[in-house]
Amino acid sequence: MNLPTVQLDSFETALLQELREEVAAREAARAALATPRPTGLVTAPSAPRSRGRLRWAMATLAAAVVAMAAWIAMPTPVTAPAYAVTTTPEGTVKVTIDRLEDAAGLQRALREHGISAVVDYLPGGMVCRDEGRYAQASSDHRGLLSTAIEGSHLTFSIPRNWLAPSETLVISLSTSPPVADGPAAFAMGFSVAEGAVGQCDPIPFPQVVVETDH
Amino acid sequence: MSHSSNPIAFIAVDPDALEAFYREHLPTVRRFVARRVADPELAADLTADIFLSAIDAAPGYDPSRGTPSAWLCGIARHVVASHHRGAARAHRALTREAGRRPLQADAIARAQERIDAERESRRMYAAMAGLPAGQRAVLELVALDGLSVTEAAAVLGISPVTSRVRLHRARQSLGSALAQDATTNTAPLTEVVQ
Repeated sequence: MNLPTVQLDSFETALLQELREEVAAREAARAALATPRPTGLVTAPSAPRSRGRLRWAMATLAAAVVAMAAWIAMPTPVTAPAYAVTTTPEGTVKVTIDRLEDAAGLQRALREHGISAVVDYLPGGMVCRDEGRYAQASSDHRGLLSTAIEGSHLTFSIPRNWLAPSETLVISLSTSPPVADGPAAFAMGFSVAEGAVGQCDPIPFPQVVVETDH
Repeated sequence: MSHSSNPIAFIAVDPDALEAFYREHLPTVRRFVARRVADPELAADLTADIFLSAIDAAPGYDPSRGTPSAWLCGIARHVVASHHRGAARAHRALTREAGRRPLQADAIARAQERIDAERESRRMYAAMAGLPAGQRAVLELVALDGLSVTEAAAVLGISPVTSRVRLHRARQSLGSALAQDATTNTAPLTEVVQ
């Protein structure tokens, strides 16, 4: 690889190394998330790290979990819409979330765009209890739902016919657990349920357990 | 957007791609920061924040809306503006935990050289503080960072016509004195809008 020749000082050298580790850790986290877990908690990066925004990686759920991420909330004008839902000519439904406000409105908007969804916004450090809330879909949805952070917005796209008629997309978004030095952050989790979805029973944010894949 | 249509997307998943991007665009970020802040340690923090934010935003990069360099300037501007609002400490913990503060002598010296060289640009940047946000955004990107009016428009998500109008109004608001003085390392404001 021919890298551009720029002389780095000690800070820039250290920053580069840290950024490389950050990217590698994120990729490891994504790989971990793509591996179904038989039960309960914890998808976490296998790379040795625990700092930065990934500390809010949301310990979650089970085989039907298809995506999760954490992003930093940037301040935006409060007059801007909290969310937007659009459908592309190809039938992909794109969701942009600016602030965690009006979960019921987002849920309605998704249904208007043909996506059966249940959306819950929770306060800091809380997630919905999944046990007993719904039956996880048996079909494999991994790798199809794409998420991204665009500026201060969180976006995700749902391909056409991604959900079977009997399936519901379960979305939970939460502010992070309180952290000293206080960046505002959120974590999100997606699951696909088969059949009805019960009410959200908020429980404390689970601890992330770092696992090593062998 | 697929990685094939978005070359920047790889910086979020491939450390080697990230390194190439970092080495290519670090000079741009150095200048960008030095034109706005005079404290080497704050400059270091902002540099880290800018590249972390770029990694975050990489999947959303749209090549049709400008070059990677222009895109990065848009991100950098957001990071610096957020800092000035006192709301962008998000990455700071990462910086401290990595033991990169305090800076070592070589990093301070080189940062100070850049900061000294951009004194006039910072004066212009400070003078922009009273402008309406929309005008200031265009003026910063064009007059301080050397983007074209069209590139600035793409970065800011506005039309080139709107960009040009805002630039014109910004120049009028700032007055002729600054425009006539601001010649170091940047285009005079009177030339920028012509």
